[in-house]
Amino acid sequence: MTDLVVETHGLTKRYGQRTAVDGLDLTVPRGVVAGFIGANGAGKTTTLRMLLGLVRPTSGTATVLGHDLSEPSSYLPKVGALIEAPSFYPGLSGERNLRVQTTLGAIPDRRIGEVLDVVGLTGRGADPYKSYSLGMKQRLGIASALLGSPELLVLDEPTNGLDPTGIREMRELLRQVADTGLTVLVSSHQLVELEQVCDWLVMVDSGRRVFQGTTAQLLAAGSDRLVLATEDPRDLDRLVTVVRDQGALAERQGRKVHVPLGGVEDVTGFLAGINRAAMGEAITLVEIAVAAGTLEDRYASLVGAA
Amino acid sequence: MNAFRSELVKLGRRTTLLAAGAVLPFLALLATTLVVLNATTTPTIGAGDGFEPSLAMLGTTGGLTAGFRASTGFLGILVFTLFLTSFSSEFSQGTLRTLLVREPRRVRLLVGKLSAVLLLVAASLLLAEVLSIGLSAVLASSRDVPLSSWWTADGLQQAGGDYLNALLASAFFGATGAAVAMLTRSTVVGLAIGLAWLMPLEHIVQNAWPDAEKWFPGLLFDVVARGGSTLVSYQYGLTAGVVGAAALLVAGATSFVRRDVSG
Repeated sequence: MTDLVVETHGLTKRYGQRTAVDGLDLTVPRGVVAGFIGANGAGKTTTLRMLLGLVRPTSGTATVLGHDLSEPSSYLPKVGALIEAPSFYPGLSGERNLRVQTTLGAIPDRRIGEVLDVVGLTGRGADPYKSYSLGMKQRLGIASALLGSPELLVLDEPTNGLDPTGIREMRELLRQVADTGLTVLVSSHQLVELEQVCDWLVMVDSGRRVFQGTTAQLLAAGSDRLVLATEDPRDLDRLVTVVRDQGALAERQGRKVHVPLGGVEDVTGFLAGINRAAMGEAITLVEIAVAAGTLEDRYASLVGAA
Repeated sequence: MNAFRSELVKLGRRTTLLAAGAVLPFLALLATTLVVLNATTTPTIGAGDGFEPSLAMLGTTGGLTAGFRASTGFLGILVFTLFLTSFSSEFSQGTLRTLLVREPRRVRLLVGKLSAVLLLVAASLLLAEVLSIGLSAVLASSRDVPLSSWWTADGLQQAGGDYLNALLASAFFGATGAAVAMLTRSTVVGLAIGLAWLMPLEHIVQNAWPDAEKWFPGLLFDVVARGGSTLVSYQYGLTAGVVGAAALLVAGATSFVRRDVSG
């Protein structure tokens, strides 16, 4: 059995003149929670649909759980998926909707109660699906994906449309599911959510990969920034010029000046140099702080560079 | 087999059974009431069947299912709509992608779904015929129609034949509805095209060109349901019906198997 649960080479999907996925090479190691990151329209959903046999690639190759993409019936029984909004029959109860799935996939019916318990819907299974809140619908979608005791769980934008409470619940559910050891591939454009649960990241932009690796690798790749504030806010624009004269990038954001620290090896020396230059221009600094880079910062810099 | 059983789980819902399964029996009872109560003592031209048979005809072996046969005129639209909505709603609700992740062998999914919906129609038709026969017996007795030839082997054979014809026509209309759904992937568009074609268009053309009954699918399937017509033999209708329904189904199935599921 391979250590890579998902592996694609040059995966491409074109719709007429539009290229949705453009020669994508990605890997997902076994046992990770992999975040699939990209803006809306970056090609995430199309890629996931190709992996699930719903959309045929225009070119390229891929394997899922060691099986070729052209043989979805050999690997899909071991894959659970929630693609975009959960899709169920509104007139059927949650339980009956899941029974449609267990019958189709020859999955023991006892799994219905088990997965409802995992997602916190015990006691609500008999209610009509149409009476569920959006958060409950999403949770039923996860329950459906877990029915077949999958080795790989594919979730496409599972927090879409949820309120902050629902997002927090979904994040906890995801963490709970990941703790069982199965591999999770979750796509989202809400980077803050992914940052907290993912240990492997694949970033895409315009159908192309811009980063792949561990979350730690990405954040260690110099996305920290220096935040400066002056005693007199009228000095902020002059401070930007002073910093730029030191050969660094600087940008005013409200009452602060932000200076990316990417590529700066001697941060202390760099800070001292800026402080001296500011003093030389009679600018009094009241705040000099190093802010840790976020996934969002790193994504923005990678997409900007792509 | 799993796809078939899975579809039955969906169809087994009480409201679905009532909505889809009770319409045909209701129409059969209505048609039976009209047929028996409208039966005339004096035979007129064209009064051998339909909604105004003669009382003498009702007393023959064919009288047993005269009401049921008359109700099959509504069969096409109902079965077409049932199959079309059953398939197109999978696209519009997005449930198809969930099903295909669970069963990626699309032909199996298609066959299972078609078989399950057809089973529902078959059961509904059977109930319709049994109820129609029961009501016919009660109403015919009140009109002094002799029933002795009804309960003979010939009478029951006629009833079996009428059921089989209705079922065959249902399969043809069902295949057409499913094919239109798979090609259009839309309930609204599918219904607009299908109903416009089957209801006004075919009949308008038929009024101007009677031979349309030999060529147009809806008219041909109706011929099978009626066991033949004055213009088209049953054998011709059956053969052409099989060919037409198969062609439509192959076109729909090809689209279903090959096209991306993006919605």
